[in-house]
Amino acid sequence: MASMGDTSPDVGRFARLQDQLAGYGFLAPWLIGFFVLTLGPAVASFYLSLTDYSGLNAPHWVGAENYLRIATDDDRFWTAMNVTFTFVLLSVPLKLLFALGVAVALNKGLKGLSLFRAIFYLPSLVGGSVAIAVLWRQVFSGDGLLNQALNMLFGYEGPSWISNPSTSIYTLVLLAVWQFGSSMIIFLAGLRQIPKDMYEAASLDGASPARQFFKITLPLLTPVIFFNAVIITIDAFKAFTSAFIISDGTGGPIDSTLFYTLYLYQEAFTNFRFGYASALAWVLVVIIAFFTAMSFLSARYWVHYDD
Amino acid sequence: MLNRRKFLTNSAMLGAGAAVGSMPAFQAMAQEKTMRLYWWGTPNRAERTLGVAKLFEAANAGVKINGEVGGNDYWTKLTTMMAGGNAPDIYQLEPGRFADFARRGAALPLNDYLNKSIRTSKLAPGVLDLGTVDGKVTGMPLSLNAFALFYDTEAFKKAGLPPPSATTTWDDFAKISVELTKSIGKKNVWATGNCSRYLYAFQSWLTQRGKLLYTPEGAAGFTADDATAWYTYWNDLAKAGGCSSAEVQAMDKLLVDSNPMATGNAVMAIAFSNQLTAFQGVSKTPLAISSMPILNASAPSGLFYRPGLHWAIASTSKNPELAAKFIDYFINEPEAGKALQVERGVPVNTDIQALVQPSLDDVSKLTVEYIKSIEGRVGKYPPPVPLGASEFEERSFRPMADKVAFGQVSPKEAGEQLMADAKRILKI
Repeated sequence: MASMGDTSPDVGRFARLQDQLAGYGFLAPWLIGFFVLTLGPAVASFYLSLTDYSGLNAPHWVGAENYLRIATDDDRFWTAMNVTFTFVLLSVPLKLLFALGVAVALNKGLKGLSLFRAIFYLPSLVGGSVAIAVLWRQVFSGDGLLNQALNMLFGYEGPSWISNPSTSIYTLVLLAVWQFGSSMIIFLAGLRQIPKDMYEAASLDGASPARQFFKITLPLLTPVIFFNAVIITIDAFKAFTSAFIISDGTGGPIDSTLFYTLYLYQEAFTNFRFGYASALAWVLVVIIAFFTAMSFLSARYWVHYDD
Repeated sequence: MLNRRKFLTNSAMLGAGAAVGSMPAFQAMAQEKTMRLYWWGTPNRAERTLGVAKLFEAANAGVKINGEVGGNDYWTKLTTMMAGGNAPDIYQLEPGRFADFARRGAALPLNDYLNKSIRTSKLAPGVLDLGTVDGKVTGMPLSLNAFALFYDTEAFKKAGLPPPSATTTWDDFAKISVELTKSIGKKNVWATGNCSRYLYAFQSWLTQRGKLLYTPEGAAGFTADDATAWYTYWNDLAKAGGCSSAEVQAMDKLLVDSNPMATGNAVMAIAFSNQLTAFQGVSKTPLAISSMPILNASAPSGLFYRPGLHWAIASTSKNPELAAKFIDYFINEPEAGKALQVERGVPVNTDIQALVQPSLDDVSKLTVEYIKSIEGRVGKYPPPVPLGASEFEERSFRPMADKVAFGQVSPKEAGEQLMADAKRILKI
């Protein structure tokens, strides 16, 4: 006959199991989403990247052929890389600077802070939308708002910024920088966390506001700067909508706005090379992972955690 | 209130219902067949097309047709649906992509249905050839159109210049364009758009020189010199101020409403004859239609009748027979013809042509008259496009024209690069 001592662990195990099951039950919506909508397609796309899948015919195994072609025999891949890196290198620092600048200004105890915060945040809410991309096209076209203003103020006849291959990418950079709102909010929160007494002590010692900014604000804000930089960089690599709408999916004029994601999209959906496009997607994953890893490695040299 | 027992009972009943429903006897009773129809175009086209769908439903009890209209994303959606195994039963194609889909096995060959479900006796001569790829009819042409030159009659009257006609050569066209632009004398308004990026205009230009855009084997039918001559012509015209600037031209997405003529930057356009109605819709002054410029009086006109659009049946369709019947109804039924008029181009059925002619508005009449007027001058329909043709057009031919216009490459370099791209992209 089993004693109480023998059965109680079983009962305990059962209860624990029940708890765990309940936990997984509550997690189920997320778990199902992750496995069915994220992991499943990701695995499938890796398999497809090793095939010649056209979207219409059954996929055939081609091994690493797609990856070899990307590396050795695809001019437009390098064009897309060039455009994307130009965009990332310009838009990320500009957006960070801008967001930080506005956050610092707003943190000075401005009256109606919440109103300004809302106004500055607005572009981030609507900026990624199709409507704004369409608006951008109107503003920067040959007889658009910008040129009309330039003409009225300075009598300068501007080019069609959007349809000129040497300027089109900058309109997209500007559009990205304009959506600085969420980074700004995060900066603001970070600024609030810096203890006031540090500034008081510094000003007693005679440190100028500029010196206070560089010696107190910036170092203590580095974790937030780091966080924002990583997020913005990943977003910049993945940028798609603005170029898609403004160039009507062509990446034109003359591939000057051919973002990597746009090129990937074209290969899949207009050139029927889903296999090749899947390979492109995985190359992008590696690129983003590389830059994210580099940021984390560099972080130990410039990010100061308060511990 | 729904308690557990009730829930179970209800579920059981539902299950039983489903089981019964799938039994053949019950299926025969509720014999509703649903077909999906997918196309792109204006609201006007949607109204007409859905009108025909309604008529077909009325004539065929138990048939339901769901129309879906695509926009800019038409091709994306179509390929996504095909890749996902839920392609629409019937979908619209156009000549530039038609063979691409046919050769990839996405369209059902119609040969088995011809002269049975699909009557062909009244079709204009040669119509079926316009839907044939590799010896099989894989799409039904819905209309005929041809390349054409549209012009603003007022602009020519004001300038006191004779409008283009069937005898206007490319040299004349250049001279007229330069003079007309000067006479208009407005900033950012030219006589014509820079048409170097329109592959169909290049095709016509080549045909006049006895060349083909694509050979039957699927390679480029022209040389680097031919392409260079084409780019040179438009480059010279642009330099002389006769056609639109690179920046204006780069905004053209090859849709009616982005054409320089529609945006008010030009008063002439090289386009497809059935688009006259759409162009007139966005123009305040009356437009007229003529044929494209010619090389000289003895050379081929470069014109041919081409299918405006096709209907194709998805190779995965569960109701191919019914789909074939719908296509037959669409092109051969007088009531359908009346609903469609010439919105997609001149009907392929000659009886329908005669039937709709009297009821047309003036602009539509112009297009029908134009199609008839070139009857003696049209040449043979060129071979179907090779695989990769749309990629060649969108990723090489058009950007190359822009590169020349923006001065990034010379016409000579452009000709050579175009040939290299053609060799790389085009496959059989």
